[in-house]
Amino acid sequence: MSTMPDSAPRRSDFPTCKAIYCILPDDGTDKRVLVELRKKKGIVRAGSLTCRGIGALAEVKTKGGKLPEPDLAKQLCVICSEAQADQIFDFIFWFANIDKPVRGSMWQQPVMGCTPYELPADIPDEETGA
Amino acid sequence: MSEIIFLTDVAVITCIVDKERTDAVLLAARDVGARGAIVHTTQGWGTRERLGVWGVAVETEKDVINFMVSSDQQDLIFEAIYQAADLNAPGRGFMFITPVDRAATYVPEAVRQQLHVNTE
Repeated sequence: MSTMPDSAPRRSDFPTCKAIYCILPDDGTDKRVLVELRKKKGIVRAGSLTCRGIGALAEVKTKGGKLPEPDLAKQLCVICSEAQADQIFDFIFWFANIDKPVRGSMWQQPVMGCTPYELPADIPDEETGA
Repeated sequence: MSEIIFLTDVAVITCIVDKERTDAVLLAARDVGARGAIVHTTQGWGTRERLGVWGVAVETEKDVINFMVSSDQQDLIFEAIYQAADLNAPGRGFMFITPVDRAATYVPEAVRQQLHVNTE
């Protein structure tokens, strides 16, 4: 069953949401978070992006005042309903160990409207293949 | 389980510039107190293609730079980046600030104790 309205969509059909962004180390945490969000919270409006992370800019001293070498990082973006946002934020924080050093950071932003999204039903499960 | 310390009064500055200006932007932001940045590369076109010297279609790589900054610092950092990226010149790029509801990251134990936050 589709989550899209039958008639021509209007802006008001798409409720305000929250966007949660996480900067995570490039160690596979982003994929694990995405899998857990889908399985445990039903979140599929999410994805991750490879970035160059330049942390602690102000503290690093380098020759000639140049920038420190960047680290590879992942930027995770999760869209969820306003009602879910606090719970999802906390879930990601503890799952990704954001409270530990060098584990990244995260923030939550308002989204004025977001279309629904659903995955095709016939995609085999990545682990079981079923 | 310890508590999450939520940071409020935070904003995200997003700046889209040509790749060769990225380092200048990062250095300028650092000089006025930015603590970190995330950069990713994107490739594509703007609203006009024929901006090159020869008037030919230019496909260029841009960097998208995100800074999470405190609200107190946002204007200062925004202005510094604007100058460094030379954004008042046509075709150089653009930037924007978006509000943040809350943020969280690692907070050292000493700071948690100062804030009297549960550390267990």
